[in-house]
Amino acid sequence: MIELKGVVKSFGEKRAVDDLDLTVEDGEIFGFIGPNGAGKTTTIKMIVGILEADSGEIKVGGIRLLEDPLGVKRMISYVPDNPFIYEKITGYQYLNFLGDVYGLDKESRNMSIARYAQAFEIEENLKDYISGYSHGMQQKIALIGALLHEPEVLILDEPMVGLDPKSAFTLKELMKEGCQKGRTVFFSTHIMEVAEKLCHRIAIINHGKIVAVGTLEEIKSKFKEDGSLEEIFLELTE
Amino acid sequence: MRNLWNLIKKDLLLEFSFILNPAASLKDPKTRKRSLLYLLTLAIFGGYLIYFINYLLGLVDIFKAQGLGELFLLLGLVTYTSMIIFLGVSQVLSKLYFSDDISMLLPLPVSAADILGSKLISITVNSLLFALITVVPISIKYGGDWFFYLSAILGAVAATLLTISLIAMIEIVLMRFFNRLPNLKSLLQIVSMFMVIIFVLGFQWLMKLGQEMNITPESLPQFIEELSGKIYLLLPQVKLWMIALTESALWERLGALLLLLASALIIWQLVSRLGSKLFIKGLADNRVIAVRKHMFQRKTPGVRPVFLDIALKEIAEILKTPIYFFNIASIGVLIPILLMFPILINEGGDNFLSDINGLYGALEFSLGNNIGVGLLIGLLGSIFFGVTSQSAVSSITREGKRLWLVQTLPVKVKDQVNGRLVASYVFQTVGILPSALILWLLLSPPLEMVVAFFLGVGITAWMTSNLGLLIDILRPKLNWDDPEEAIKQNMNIFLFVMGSFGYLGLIIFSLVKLFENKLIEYSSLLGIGLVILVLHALLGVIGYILSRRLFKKRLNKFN
Repeated sequence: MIELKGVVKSFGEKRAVDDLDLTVEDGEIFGFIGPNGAGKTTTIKMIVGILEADSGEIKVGGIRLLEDPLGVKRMISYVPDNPFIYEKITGYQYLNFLGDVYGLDKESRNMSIARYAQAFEIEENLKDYISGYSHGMQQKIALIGALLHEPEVLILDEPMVGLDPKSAFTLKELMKEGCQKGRTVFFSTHIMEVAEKLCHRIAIINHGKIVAVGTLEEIKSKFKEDGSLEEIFLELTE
Repeated sequence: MRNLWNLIKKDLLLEFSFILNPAASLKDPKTRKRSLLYLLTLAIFGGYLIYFINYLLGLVDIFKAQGLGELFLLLGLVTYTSMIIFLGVSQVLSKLYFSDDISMLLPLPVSAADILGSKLISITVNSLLFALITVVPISIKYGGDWFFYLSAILGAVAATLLTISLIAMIEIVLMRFFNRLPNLKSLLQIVSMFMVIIFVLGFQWLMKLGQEMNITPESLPQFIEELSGKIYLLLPQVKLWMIALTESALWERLGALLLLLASALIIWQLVSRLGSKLFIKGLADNRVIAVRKHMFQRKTPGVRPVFLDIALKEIAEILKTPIYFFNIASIGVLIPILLMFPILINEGGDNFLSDINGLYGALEFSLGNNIGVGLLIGLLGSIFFGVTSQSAVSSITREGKRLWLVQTLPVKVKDQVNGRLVASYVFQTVGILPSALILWLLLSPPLEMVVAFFLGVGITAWMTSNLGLLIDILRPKLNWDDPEEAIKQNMNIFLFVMGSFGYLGLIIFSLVKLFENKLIEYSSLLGIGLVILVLHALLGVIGYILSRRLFKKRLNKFN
């Protein structure tokens, strides 16, 4: 479970995230949508510990991020919108590095690598330098790295960008499979259709504040019964 | 501890990928060419390296024969430690604050202390490569018992780790507190530069000390003692290292080595543990300041020519990025200080000044000679400044992964090329001005010599910038993770520097030989100067035309 209470983050004069409250339950696929500069990536970066909140509290799996950042980081996996991956090592070496960091034993590590590499059709390229990978392949290797230790909470920033339709489908299936096992998936997207079809609940953020949160039906009933998510989004973020 | 080792292993894999993973390196077309070029360069450079090491080893014999072997060993260790400081200042800054790697590591379950600790170790391992060409050959030649060799190896590791950790501590504190105010980050650049200056000047001061003492066999022990005392005050780690290497009692040597190792480990741990919070805060502030600066700089500029916009972007980028500033703009500050220092520290005799005046006074002054001498000094002197302070040779490389912007912006090739050249001229001319001013004040040359000098400078700056840009257009290094990699591991810059110094050496050697054999006289200097001037101008024109023609063609091939 992810809990944010009164979280604030400012950059100079600008409040990027403004008194944000949010709860994401276990086993939930949660979509986080908002226009550019609304505060999505800043919120995500605070949850994963890249940025420190100015005030407020962040808990993951009941653990306070400020008190036990490593405990939180062990539970989560994060893939940024434009993942930086070491280019002068091979795909295997990169995945092994992550396996080492998360303390995976050899057997489960090899099984995970084989499984996800096959799912994303990248087995043939694992022995090559990452510098030779296309953008989509780099996105795939970053996703495999994130899934490797079967995280309790998977946090993805624009995960579909750069993926071919088949890989996007695979990722969606893996997200569903994860939440069936009680894991939480929190992701940001600009693709309304993905949010509508995949997410159990959705939050819309604008100017650092949550302007709508709930299931698709709850949001529709509150704002526009016969409207699509896209229409509601456009109205709320005008 | 497990994660610390994982991070170190990852850093070493990345740093020495070609050695540790040759199969993958040769398979990837992007790295294959580079790997082969590295091998070729190593083969060429290896020759120079062997020559340098032989020269060093020859010096050991000479010093030993005069009973100064220990002094030479000390100077070897000091030279190595100074190199570590010189390179460590920019390496630490670059690896800790300007690398994407840290952003990738922060969400992983590894502590900031482990991240910092592993970075210090990997910088230490990198720095130890210099021990291979200094400490290792000198120690082998100097010779000693088994403990001597053990102390040489462990001492190098400990002294390097200790030095790098101390540099990191200073930089972490500075980045944390000075970063709070916009623009004060540049203070760090100035501090870095002054550290280098202090060490270079320190050597000159030691040389002066030696001159003043008028060393005789009787005063030699006192001289060595005084010299060692001054060095040990600045670099206590070298003192412990020297005791471990040269004292007669084994227990004393063992004690010094253990103390050096313990100090290095303790300081490394202290910096990693206590500095990690400051480091993360400084890192976060670094991002916030960048946003703030951006917010304050929302002035609407007037309409400027596009090439000027590109030139200003280049200049701003170099001034704001420590590693670029340090490599491109600092030489203009360092050289004048190095020129002035011998004059300031010499009392009465003024050897340096009288040497220069003597050389200058030996000239046969006439209008033609004055122009010839001015031209030659400008043409040849600015080659030195041209290779060290021009920005064109790394202009495309510095675009790195942002190159798509250059590829897609509706900017004419002419503006792209001219903008980058203008920025390069600015750094070259601004770089040479302080040195030129000092020489002018010292020598009061006639006006025609000064005018000819600046003509030479201008034409050579034109040539070196154009050729530098052409080389970078042909083979830019776009795939880098931090600015240091873009500059320090750049084959273009290496080849350009080697080529330029080779050319400079060839011209000076030819002139000296021609004079020695009386094939030319002073009156020929004007003619020679004009020939070189025309040659530089022509090379510049060729470089410019090729740069403009190839820029568009090559641009779409970069990926």
